[in-house]
This record gives sequence, C-alpha cells and structure tokens, in this order.
Amino acid sequence: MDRQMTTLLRQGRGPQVVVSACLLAVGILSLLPAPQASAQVAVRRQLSETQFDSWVFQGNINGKTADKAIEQRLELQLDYLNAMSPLTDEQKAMMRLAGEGDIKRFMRKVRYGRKVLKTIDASDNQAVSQAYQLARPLAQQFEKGLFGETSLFHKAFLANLSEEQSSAVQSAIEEQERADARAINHMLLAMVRRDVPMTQEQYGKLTDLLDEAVPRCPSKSNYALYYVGYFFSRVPDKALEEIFEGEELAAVKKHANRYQGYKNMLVSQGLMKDDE
Amino acid sequence: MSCQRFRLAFLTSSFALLVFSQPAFAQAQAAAIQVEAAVQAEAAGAADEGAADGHGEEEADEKDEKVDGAAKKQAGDIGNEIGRDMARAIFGFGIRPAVVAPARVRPAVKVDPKDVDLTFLTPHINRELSLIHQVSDAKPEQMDKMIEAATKARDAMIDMVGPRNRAIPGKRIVMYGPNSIRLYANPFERIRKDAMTYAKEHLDIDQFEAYSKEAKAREDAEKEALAQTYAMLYQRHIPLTKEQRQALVDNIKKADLDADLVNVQVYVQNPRYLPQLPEEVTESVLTKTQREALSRASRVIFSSQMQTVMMNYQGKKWIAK
Repeated sequence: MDRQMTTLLRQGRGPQVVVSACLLAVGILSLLPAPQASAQVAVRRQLSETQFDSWVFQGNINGKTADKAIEQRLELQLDYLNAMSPLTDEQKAMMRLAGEGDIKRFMRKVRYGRKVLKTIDASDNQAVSQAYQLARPLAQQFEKGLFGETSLFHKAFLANLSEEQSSAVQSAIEEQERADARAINHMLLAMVRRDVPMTQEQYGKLTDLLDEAVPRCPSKSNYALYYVGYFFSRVPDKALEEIFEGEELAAVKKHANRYQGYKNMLVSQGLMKDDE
Repeated sequence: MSCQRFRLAFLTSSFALLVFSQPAFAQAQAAAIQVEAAVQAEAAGAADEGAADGHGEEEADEKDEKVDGAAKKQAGDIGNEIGRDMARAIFGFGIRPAVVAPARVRPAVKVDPKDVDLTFLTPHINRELSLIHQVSDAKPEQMDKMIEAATKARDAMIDMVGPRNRAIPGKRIVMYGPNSIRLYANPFERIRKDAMTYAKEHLDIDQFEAYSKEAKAREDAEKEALAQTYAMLYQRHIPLTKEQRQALVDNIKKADLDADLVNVQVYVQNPRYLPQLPEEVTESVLTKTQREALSRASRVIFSSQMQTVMMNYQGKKWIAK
C-alpha cells in the first residue's frame, strides 16, 4: 500500500491521493459521534472573574481585596462625619448598617457580572463588549463612592442626625466645595498667567472675579476644569477691562473665550442646566 | 490483510486528525499572536509609563525585559485574555500604573546643538521680559542688555535637551516641547531663574526689587494653586477634614515637589488617578486607615507638554526669533 502511494505521488498524482483520502476520512468520521463539538469546547477561551473585577475596581483593588477596601471607605466616611459633628454610638451603628446594605447591594451586582463574564467566549468581541457594559456603571459608581445621595447610608444619615448635626455637616461640605472651586479657579488662572504677563495685583483681582463667578464646582467630575472655564468665559468684558488693557486684555479674553463652546458638553454631562 | 486494514485506518485517522485539528491550531496560533501582541502592548505601556517618569528611553528598548507586576496585571492579563485590540478598545491608550522599573544607565548620546531648534522657548522668554519691563519700568538700554543676556541664556538651555539616554534620578516629571523634544528640567523654572540673574545684573536696585517681588508673588501664587489642587485631588479619594486638608496644603507648599501646574491639570481631568506625594508630606496628616485606603489608588506620574500653555499673548517680541 505504501509503495503504491509513493509510486502514485511520484507520478504526480498526489492531489488525487489527498482528495481520495479526504473522502475516505469523511466517510469514516461521519460514523463517529460528532467530534466538532468537543474540538470547539477545547479551543474556547474563557475570561476569568478577575477580569470583571479589574474593570470595576481598577487601580490596585481586586476581587479579593474589594470587600475590605469598600468597608474601609465606609469607616472613613463615618470618621469624616464624626469629625465634622460627633455622632453617638447608636447613630454610628445605624449608619454602618445602612452602609453595609449599600455594599451588599453593590457586590451582588459585581457577582452577577462575574458570573456573566465566565459564560462568554473570550474571542467573541461583541459578547466581551456587552459584558464590559455591565461593568462600566459599576466602575463609575465605585469611583464616585457607594455612599452618595441615592444610598441607604445617605438616607440613614438624613433620618438619624439631629438638625444641628445636619447643618454642621452641610456647612462643612459646602466649605469643602468652595475650597475645591477655589483650587480649580486658581489653577486655571495661574495657567493663564503663564501666558499673560500680569502683576500680583492684577492676578488677585482676576481670581476674585472668578471665585465670585464660580463659588462651587463639580470637583469630582473630569469636566471640572471646563465647568470653571465656561464660567470664566461668562465674566463680563467690562470687568476684565477694569483690570487689563492692550495686549494683556486681548489675551485674557481669548483665554476665557476658548471655553465658550463647552456648554453643550457640560449640559450633556449633567453638570449644568441648559438655561443656566 | 488485517495489517493492511490497520494501516488504512491509521492513515485515514491521522489525516482526519490533521483536518479536524486545523481550527484548533489556527486558534492556538491566533492566541499566540494575541499573547505576543499583548506583551508588546504591555511593553509599549511600560515604555509610555517610563516616558512619563523619565526612564522611557531606556525602557522602550527593553520591552522584553520584565515589566512591573501592576502594569502587567492591568495591561498584560487583559491583553492576554481578550486580545490587544479589544483591550485597547475598552481601556484606551497611554495610561498605565506608575510603577517604575529601575533605569538602566547607558552610554549617553550627545545631542548636536545644531540639530535642536530652541526658538520654541522664545515666546516664553519674551513674556518674562515683558513682565520685567512692566514692573520695573526698565529703560531701552537696560532692555537691550537684558535681551542680549536672555538670548544667550536661551541658547544655553540646550543642556536641558541632551545628552539623550541620561538617567533621571528618582521619579521625575519629564516635560516635552514641540516635536516631542524632551526637556530634562522644567523650562518655566529655568527661564525665570535666568531672568532673575540678568535682571539683577542690568537693573538698578529698586527696579530689581520691584521685579523680584512680583516674581516671588507669582511663585507663591502658583505654589498655593498647586497645593490646593493636590489637596482637592486627595480629597476625591479619601474624606479629609478641614484641618487635615489645610495641613496637607501647608506640607505640600513646604515640600520641594517635582510638580508643575502644566502637569497637575491632567489629574484634574482624570479623577481616577492620583499624583504621588512624598511620605513626609502625608504621614503627619493622614490616619493609618486613610493611608491604607490611598495605597489602593492608582498613582501615576503624567508627563507634561509645554504646549498645554495656550499662547494667546501677542505682546512685544523682545527677542525676534
């Protein structure tokens, strides 16, 4: 048989041999129980749940350390409130319980995402992309913090604190927001000063103008700088003319005006209203 | 006869094995390509990161060398699992955790000054001259002398560009000029330092005092803005009391940070990332729990682009080119 095949190959009839062998193989294999399925299972590549965790938690937190990290955030939040207005043990216990509820609710969604991810094929880009869509809102929620305005923690905070405590916390938060706004305002104007020669007196007047125009800002947003910039663009020309003149005035106005076009983006990000 | 049947069965099953294993081979090959691509992406990431902290030139050539574990975890594992393109589609380009592999010091390659055009620094120098003129009311002959000195000082700034492959001690920011020209020192600081020198030489005492007072006030205002922004960035990650925040601001102002306004605004636009602060700045201010919480944040060192400073000022061109 071997000798015959060798002879046939030598005679240039190799392709015919291959075709015959193919047909033969198909014939034999059609009698065997479907081998394709097992072959496909063998090459299917799974994604691990740590992948989902890395989408959600980013940074140096993974699924194993996430619980501890979130619980730590809860404790930090309680410490923070306690520092602003001392809490009783009972209040702390209530708020801790509510915070733990928020953590459980969040982790339930994470576990669901992990489960979904394990069922999909890694080579199916569309499926991976859909799984990522599950992770994205969770990542945003984690980044913003689990104890925000819609959280049980916040509700417990509102329900359990006395009026005096609430107002102390509220005024501390407002003060922090003002400090945030000032930080971004001054950073933006210090950058303007890199371009426009100005005296300290001029800079001081300019920062006063912007601090008045932007008393608070969404400092946690990645659009915070544009938010401040937009309000800088709305500072009346007349006010700038009282501080600068000539080339300096023209340059400061140009700096301000470059932020004019960001309104739609800020509205779409929910950072300001259309009629604001 | 039975031997012939056995041979036939062996041959056909071998052929069938070849036919059916083809997709598996192809898959395995594709996976290998993806893994290789992921490793390359990872190495590129490490190079990006290296570039951000000043070690990039050495590291870019060492993509096969071990890269940092954290970077590997974030970029490599993802790349290995879902492929480079998919990982890039989801995670975007260019941002990697800031972990620095030790720089390999290689023989320095000297840059020929003729190959580097430093005129991109001229507008910045002209602005400084305008400030001197504005606050000191310098006479034309004084300005002429300072223009001459400023031009010489600009040309001497070639030492910030070369030699290449020079290792930068510690984790330092690298600032880029146009055409990705790498500057191994902060050009804004250098221009001001030079200005202080020639202003002292060519202005009289009162004039110089007026300028140096303004320059100091500007430096303080920048430091204040920088420190306030750093504190705000830290407050994004951990709740800080009013007292803690103020203490952090005070410590940052006292510390000699390798930071710049150009650089810090990148963090404002990327809330997930946190700039690094030396331990001596945070240790006395933050609690153990706060420091632990911060240790989990992604701390990166972003490089800076000089072009981030928008140049709208069309004042007098003291140095023409």
